[in-house]
Amino acid sequence: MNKKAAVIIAVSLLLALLGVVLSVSVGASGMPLDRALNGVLGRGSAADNAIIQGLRLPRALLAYLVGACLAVAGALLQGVFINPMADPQILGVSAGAGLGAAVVIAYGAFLGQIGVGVGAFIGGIVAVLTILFVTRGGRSAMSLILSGLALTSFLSAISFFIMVLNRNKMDQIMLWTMGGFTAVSWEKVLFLAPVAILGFFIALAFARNLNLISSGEEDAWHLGVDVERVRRSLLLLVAAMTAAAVSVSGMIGFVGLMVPHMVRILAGPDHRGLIPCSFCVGGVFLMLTDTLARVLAAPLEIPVGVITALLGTPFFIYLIKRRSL
Amino acid sequence: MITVEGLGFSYGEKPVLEDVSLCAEGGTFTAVIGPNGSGKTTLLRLISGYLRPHKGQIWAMGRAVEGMSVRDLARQMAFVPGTLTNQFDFTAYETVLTGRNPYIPAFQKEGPADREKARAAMERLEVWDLRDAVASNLSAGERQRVAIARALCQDTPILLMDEPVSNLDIRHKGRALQVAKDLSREGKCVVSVLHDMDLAAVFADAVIIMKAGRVFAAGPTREVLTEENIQAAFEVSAQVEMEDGVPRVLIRY
Repeated sequence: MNKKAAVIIAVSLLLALLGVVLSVSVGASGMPLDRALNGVLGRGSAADNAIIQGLRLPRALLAYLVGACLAVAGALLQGVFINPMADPQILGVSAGAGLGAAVVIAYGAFLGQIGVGVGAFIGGIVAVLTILFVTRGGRSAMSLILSGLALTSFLSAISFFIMVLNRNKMDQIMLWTMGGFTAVSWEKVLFLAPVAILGFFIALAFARNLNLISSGEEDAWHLGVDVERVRRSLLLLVAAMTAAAVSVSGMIGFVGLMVPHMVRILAGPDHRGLIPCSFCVGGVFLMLTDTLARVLAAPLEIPVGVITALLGTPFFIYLIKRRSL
Repeated sequence: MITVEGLGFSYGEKPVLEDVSLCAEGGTFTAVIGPNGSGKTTLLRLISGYLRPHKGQIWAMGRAVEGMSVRDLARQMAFVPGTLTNQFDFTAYETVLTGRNPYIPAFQKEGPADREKARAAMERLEVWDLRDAVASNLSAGERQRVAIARALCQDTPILLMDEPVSNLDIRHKGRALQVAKDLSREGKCVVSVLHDMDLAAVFADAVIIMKAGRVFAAGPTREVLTEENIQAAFEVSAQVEMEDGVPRVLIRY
């Protein structure tokens, strides 16, 4: 890992600490820092403790983990497809995971959080396989994006169909399509944390292979990389990380597109730095964005997916313009 | 060394190679020439193991290519592509260093010995001064020399090159092929697809002429690069004169 990457990681970890403090002290009932910190440590009033420990702290952590998962998934997709425009949302992996989650919520609610996660994973895998099948002939940036767009429309349509059939659960499913952290629990944090951490280390093990694949598939093969095997493993990993994130927070777009891009500009394209940096920056980015989502129109909350889309769409258009696709 | 026996390959219905047999020894520089579409590049990709043959057998260093893992193959054979592609901004040095990949386990970094090999390879190809430049910003010729340096850094007994010097200027064409020739003198088995018959005549010990997916002629350079062979394989009229034991080919268009 180069020096720039190390600096980015150090800075983003520091920001994450400050972000947690900020995130737990602002909100519908604002608290001065000392009260918020006492709440974190469980030394505040009963009401403060409940708000901080039951709501704000898990929410901050959950946002961090979701941001980290999505950013790493985006970095992996961009490397695997040698395509800087790839992102779990754009390629339809999120929509697949969303549909899988919706099916479980509608018809298998008794399966709990793990069940929703597994449903989302299966949906994500189906989406990945579909994209691979549709773009078999050639994977230009444009064909990937258009296939992802079509797939997202199709899968979302099915999700809406399920919603209509299950009007009593519509609110719950709607949350998934908006993408946000209104329903948080420690259960979700404990579900996502192992996936995020394990996924991160697996991704890191593939970092050098990804560097090689990004300089051309055939070249990578001649340098000893079993490209198809690496691609299959990593797409499975992307499906798992995206699904885990989507199953706790719904579909939050563009994090996986923007974060690896920003990191690549600052720290270079080496995946050995890019993956850890994406994890840390993605986490702190979504945590801060979610804090913003809570205070921007307080006491109303904006789903954080709305904000990432507002930031991400102009970014996406800028990328299209710059690469003149 | 490489042995190929009864090789057959087709893309879909269209046969590209039929009944190709050949042999390339360690310590020699073998040039593969032939008209466009005669199957030269496909032959090289088959030897490297990247494509699987539909018929026939290939051995590299005494082992059947079909049974070897990708990593094993990359320790036996390095491949220099016609153009170096790179979507992201890796530097020339980082690109050359990737030649060490087949030797490094998953979580480990390149060691000092690997870095030394990369430096030596870059100095030999005269691209050490370009080490910090982004590879995709280099000129076509510089990029090509980086690609050759990467293969050198891979340090394999076999070196396969697919039109390695087509984008280079005259001086660097000669320099790069001289390096390849020197490597063959150090014991490597070098097989290169070449466009330019004159370069094949000067640098190659042996020449294989491909035509329509078959070996048209093969053997020592002097015996293969004859007026009759060139006229029949390329369908042009040619005149060959010997100069210090090296055939000089004059093509009349």
